[in-house]
Amino acid sequence: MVAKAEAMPAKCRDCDYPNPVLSDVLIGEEVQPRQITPQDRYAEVVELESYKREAKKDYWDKVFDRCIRCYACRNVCPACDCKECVFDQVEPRWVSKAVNVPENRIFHITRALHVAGRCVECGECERICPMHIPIRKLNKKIAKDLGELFGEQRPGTQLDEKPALGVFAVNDPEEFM
Amino acid sequence: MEHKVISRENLGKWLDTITREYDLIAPTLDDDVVLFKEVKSAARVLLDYNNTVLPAKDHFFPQTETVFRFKASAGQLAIEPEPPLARPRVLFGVRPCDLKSITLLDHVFDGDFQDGQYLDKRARTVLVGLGCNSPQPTCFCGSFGIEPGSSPAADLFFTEMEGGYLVNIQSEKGKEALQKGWSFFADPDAGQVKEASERAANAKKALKLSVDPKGVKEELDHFFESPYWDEISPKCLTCGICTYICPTCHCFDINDTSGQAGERFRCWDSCMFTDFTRMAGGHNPRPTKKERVRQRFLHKLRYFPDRYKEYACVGCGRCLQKCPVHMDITQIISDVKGGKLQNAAK
Amino acid sequence: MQQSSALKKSPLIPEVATIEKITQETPDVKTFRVVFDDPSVMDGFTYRSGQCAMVSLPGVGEAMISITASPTRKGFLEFSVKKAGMLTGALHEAEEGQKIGVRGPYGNSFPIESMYGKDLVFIGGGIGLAPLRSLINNVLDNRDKFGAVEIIYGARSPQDLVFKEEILENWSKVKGVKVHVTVDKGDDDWKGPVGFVPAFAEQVNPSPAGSIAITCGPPIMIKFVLQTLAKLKFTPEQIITTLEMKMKCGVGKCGRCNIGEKYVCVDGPVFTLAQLGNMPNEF
Ligand code: SF4
Ligand code: SF4
Ligand code: FES
Repeated sequence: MVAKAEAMPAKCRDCDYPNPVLSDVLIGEEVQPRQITPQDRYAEVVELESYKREAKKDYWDKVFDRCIRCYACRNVCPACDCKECVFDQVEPRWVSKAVNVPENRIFHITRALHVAGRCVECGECERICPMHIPIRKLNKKIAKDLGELFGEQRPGTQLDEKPALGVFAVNDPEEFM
Repeated sequence: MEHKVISRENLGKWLDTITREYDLIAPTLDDDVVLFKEVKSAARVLLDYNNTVLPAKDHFFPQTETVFRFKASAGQLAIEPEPPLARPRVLFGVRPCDLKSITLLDHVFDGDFQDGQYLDKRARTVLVGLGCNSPQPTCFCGSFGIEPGSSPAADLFFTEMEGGYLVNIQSEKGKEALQKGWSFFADPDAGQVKEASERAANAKKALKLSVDPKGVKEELDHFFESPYWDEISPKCLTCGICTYICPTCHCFDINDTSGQAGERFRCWDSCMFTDFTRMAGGHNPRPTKKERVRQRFLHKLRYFPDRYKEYACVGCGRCLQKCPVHMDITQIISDVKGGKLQNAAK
Repeated sequence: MQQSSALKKSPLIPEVATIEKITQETPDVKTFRVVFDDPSVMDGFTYRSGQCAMVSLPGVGEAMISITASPTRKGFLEFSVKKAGMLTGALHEAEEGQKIGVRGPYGNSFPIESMYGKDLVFIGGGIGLAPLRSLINNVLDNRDKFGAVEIIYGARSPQDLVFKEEILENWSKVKGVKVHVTVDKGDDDWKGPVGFVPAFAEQVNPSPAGSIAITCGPPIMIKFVLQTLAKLKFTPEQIITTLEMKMKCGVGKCGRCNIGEKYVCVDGPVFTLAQLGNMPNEF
């Protein structure tokens, strides 16, 4: 027998929304949510942030090098909803079909930024990745940065909330300018 | 057949010796992912593993491979083919399913219009097989006539035993590689040969999953059209996992880097992708999941056997393990055999 | 597998060739006359009518294009190219003297031997006349081997007719050859027939007795031409057409062009209607 905690995907171990945030009928009892502090939530990201610039690059290049660009992470993602993905466009082709570190980097960063503020952290991307790419780490880094810039949001938990990058406010920080 | 034995300890020494003259490619860990990669020392070779996440095909038909480099200038065009391998290679630790799959790829890349790049790698690689002592629950190689404990496709075949390995020498090329460290090997006694064959027999018995593909092609000949394809396809994500981790899938694309100087490369492609058959102008003969899922299974179970007289599946079970939606080729084979396509068609 | 001594060349590597002449056929079709730089490659490039070649502009890509020249006329190749995608667009920008890559010839060909002694009906639409032109010139260069020849050709407008000079100056003057040209929509100068190719073919009313019909053109035209031919009592064995599929390798390996167990790049592009009937309807 395997212990439950061991059999659970990583994404389930740090999930703090065990109950559906919206439902007409709830089957079964509500589960007591675990208390997950922001420190715990972003522990991995904080660790990565402490790396020197080169070490960060080495870390990501090593894992991106392993990516086979099967696009399963994209296809399973509930936030990916473009009618035609930029990675599938042929004429013109925006991203080369060559699978190598530079092109894989473009893929991963584009994917992550495109779901920024909309990623509900379901963690499906990481769960199904055959190559064990730590995709959630990238998503979380962006969530953390967004939280610091625009105030903490948990996409998908509030019906009337607009994603941070989907709205414009005059007092938005302009970190990048 | 000529046999030798080698202890676990000496195996490492032999592999280290090998690296002086050959590039050594072996299962190794990349974080927690088991992959065939070039290793510089035997210490990095993983000996206890079920199977690699990616099959060995990457080392004959790389995911991305330069075909030639070009340089164009006013009125000039220079084309420089990619050079052959610099050194011969030893590909160590290939399981019987993957060994068989290489012979299936040979049908495609050899034959008419011989593919020089593939054949060069093939000819200059010593294939070292490693028998499976404990097949995984997803292994069904036996269904395609593959023995988990032996393979005619290898140059050398290793069977793990108490304290070491029995080695079958199956080709001159293999023997030559063995002779680089001949002193590490000893002659087996009759008991050891017997132990190895018992282990192989036990491995075969340990296979839990099986299907009988006999007659599947003939049945599928009649069911290009069947509502069955509509039934099974909706859950597919049309990602590329199954095709990329499949040891027999071999479809590729060809592209150029842009500019006056650059290269033309080929790279794996997947019949699951939307742009696979989409033509300039937009017409797509396989516009939806249904056609693409059908294509994948018909290619393996009907079209490939039509062309090359063998099924293009070796029962490695990778797609069973990795498909996010649990598309199951063994289920499809049983459905075909069970007349499900016929019944669906009524 | 045996140890091979020398690396066999990849079949994906093209030979360098020069564009010797460019003819503007229509606003979006140009014909390129191409000669391999290495004379021995030129001599060794033996092909049959209906075969294709991969034409490439390194840095842009490759496309499979039918050889419109006839193998009876040696020393050069010709490709008629309609501007459609990236590669064909870039080819249209090319100038005489430019170097390109060519590999081939690929695919099967028109079964010309089986046409000996028969009457031939060619039905082409638009750029679809390009592969037919190879066969037509081949037939005309071996005129005595064939019966009567009927050429039915149409395009969207008079400006879109390809090989105009050749059709009017050469083909229509050969004994036993009748040429019928139509346009979907005429203009002030057009004195000829107006109407779509399928209906026009029905008016021309070629006889199926001892005949073979060969048709090439846009898929929608082919669809209706096949109906016309059926009406005229041509059997599926008497009808030959060509298929278009996306192609990458051209040598039966990349798995791109297959329709059932057929690979259009090696088993096609030429099929009889009878053969098409046995293939999955996936083109
Ligand atoms: S699922 Fe994994 S291997 Fe596939 S594209 Fe995404 S990160 Fe790469
Ligand atoms: S069958 Fe599975 S692995 Fe294959 S494309 Fe569909 S979802 Fe992806
Ligand atoms: S174009 Fe590659 S198989 Fe036909």
